[in-house]
Amino acid sequence: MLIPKRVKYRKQHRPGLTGKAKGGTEVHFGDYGLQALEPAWVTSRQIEAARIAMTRHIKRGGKVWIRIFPDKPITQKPAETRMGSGKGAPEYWVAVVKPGRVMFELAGVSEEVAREAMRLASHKLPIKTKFIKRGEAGEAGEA
Amino acid sequence: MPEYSIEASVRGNMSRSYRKELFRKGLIPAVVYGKTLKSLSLEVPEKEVKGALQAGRNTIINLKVSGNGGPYKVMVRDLQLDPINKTIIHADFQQISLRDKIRTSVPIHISGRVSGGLARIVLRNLEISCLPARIPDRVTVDVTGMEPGDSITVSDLDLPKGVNVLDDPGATVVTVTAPAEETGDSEGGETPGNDDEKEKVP
Repeated sequence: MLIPKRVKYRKQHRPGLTGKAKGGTEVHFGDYGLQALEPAWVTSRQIEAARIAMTRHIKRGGKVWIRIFPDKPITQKPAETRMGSGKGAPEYWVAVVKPGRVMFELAGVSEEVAREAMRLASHKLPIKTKFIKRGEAGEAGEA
Repeated sequence: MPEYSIEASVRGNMSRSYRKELFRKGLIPAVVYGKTLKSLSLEVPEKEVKGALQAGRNTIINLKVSGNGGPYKVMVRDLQLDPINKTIIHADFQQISLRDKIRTSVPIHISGRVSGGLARIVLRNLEISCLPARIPDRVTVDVTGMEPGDSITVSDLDLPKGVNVLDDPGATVVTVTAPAEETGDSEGGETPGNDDEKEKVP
């Protein structure tokens, strides 16, 4: 599972989910991508589950890129605890995903295989997603 | 390169509400600038910009600005797109001179099939310098017959006359790699105890 090696501060504020993705909105490394259509906190477990679903389907010959990293610690208080006495303990890690973000990329497989792999991966994620191809819908290059 | 004509008008109102009104009318905010042209805010029909870009990013456009002279020979310098539906939010047009060389990038197109392994495209756009009329639509690279370990560099590319490459001649364009071996680690979740592994927390 993806987790940071070390962090400067153990506990952080809860990350916000407003707005659209500012970067990472195009397929950069592979030929196909899975784009988020909703904002969400995607946990490291969900990322790993999606990766496994994809790599199992494509078997061999393809390459997978994970374009998000769970770098935000989320804390939780134990059950049946009274409020107060400080912030809870860090429980899991999330990646803040905003609409438009390309979360996974694939290369080296046919479009049919890539579509199915991305469909399987999308079922592991808490948001609606879209399958996109490189250079689709007037994707901007460098002028 | 084909030439297109776009009719634009000067944009006087810069407010957000007016910009929203523009989108409702099918217009987009744009700007034109150049060596002999002061920066000018415009409103342009989105359909016409999309039509001009169908042929590629390096299309030469005759931009007519109502009430401000022209037509100006321009190229699309920058485009701001909506990250989800890819509609154009804003366009930058740069005035060009047909006599002066310009720096631009052209897409590299891969054709053919490798005989074994996986073709990994390293360079997808090529930086070039040439006269605007000589800009090629794309540079085609044929990978037919390439085997794992083979690669094509920028110096191997076949370019039309008058086109200078600005990228490093030794830079790899495409390389063929052997297909990745299927291992338990890469597939993940197979090794017992993986699920029981305690999550490290800060």
